[in-house]
Amino acid sequence: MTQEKLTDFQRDALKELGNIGAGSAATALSQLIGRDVGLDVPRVAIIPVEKIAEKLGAQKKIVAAVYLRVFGEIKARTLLIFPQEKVMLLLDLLMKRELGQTREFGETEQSALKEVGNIIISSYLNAIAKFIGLNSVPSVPALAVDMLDAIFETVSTEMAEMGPEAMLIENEMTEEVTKVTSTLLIIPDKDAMGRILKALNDTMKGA
Amino acid sequence: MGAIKTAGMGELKIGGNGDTLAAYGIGSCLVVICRDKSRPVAGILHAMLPEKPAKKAEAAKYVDSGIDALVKEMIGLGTGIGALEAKIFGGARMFDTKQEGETIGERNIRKAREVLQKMGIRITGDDTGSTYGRNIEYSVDENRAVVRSFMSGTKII
Repeated sequence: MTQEKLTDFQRDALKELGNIGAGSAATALSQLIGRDVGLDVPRVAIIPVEKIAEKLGAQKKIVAAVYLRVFGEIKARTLLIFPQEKVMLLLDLLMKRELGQTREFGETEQSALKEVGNIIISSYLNAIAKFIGLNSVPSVPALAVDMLDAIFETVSTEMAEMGPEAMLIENEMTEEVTKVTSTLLIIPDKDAMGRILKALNDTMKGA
Repeated sequence: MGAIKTAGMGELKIGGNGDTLAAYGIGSCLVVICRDKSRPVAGILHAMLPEKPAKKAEAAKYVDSGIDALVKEMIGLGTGIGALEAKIFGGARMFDTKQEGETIGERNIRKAREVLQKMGIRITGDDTGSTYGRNIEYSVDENRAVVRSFMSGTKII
């Protein structure tokens, strides 16, 4: 089941999920930063797991990635990826610094990133969980700052447990003139995606 | 003229005179480079997990069967087992999870040492463990690996 094979209901439901998740993430982030933050979701897609590397592109790019495993009734692995330049800007906002001031990833910066990652990922997970009526319990977030391919391949080694499809959510966080893009990957375990998609279909039809 | 031969995840490649053997974006994966001491022939393995689980799995994905396959291929090309030497790279812990026990990277490193020792292949170079991703380029002629990382600069192994 991939983007092309989704029904119109499912496509709409996915967009709706994206908007709901983004909305609650924006509220939480605004509270965290103490300034108004908007979150747009230009794209939500279901893609085959083998195509993830291709879709992410720019493999040698340095990124900051927050990794969160999900347990409960829906099991999944999630990875929120920020390009290096964007993450520095984000840290400026979080630490209330002048834009361009943050240069390195010290302990404080790492904690702040994990917290932001946790907020964003959990917002989407909660939106999904509510939609389909199944719970999800996130783990403590982990952080890696390094080449995208080295990070992604480490997650890939767990391929055997992962299902064949992933949800890819592109985010655009805006605070005044600062724009921070990030990509969220939600890779459910085998069967879990099928249940999510079925629930999306059912929910939309019932609405 | 030499070529750059890149081993992606779960792949192994053989190179000769003038070639560069490469593997990029190595996180927890384990890269083994075996060379023939007596002539410019070497092979690179990019394995993901320590042990092959079942008969039907692909050999090069796993450290144990991958090293086995790499050595067999080099012997098939005329290398004597006594002429083999190895360098190992990777097996990093990429995420700062508060995990107990060995990480997959650490298990990969341990398996590689175990298998190479059992085969009597000496390890002459090693850049493994730690928490950074690596890009590896090995020159067959010079027996020299350039290991680049974002956080830890460049090393020559």
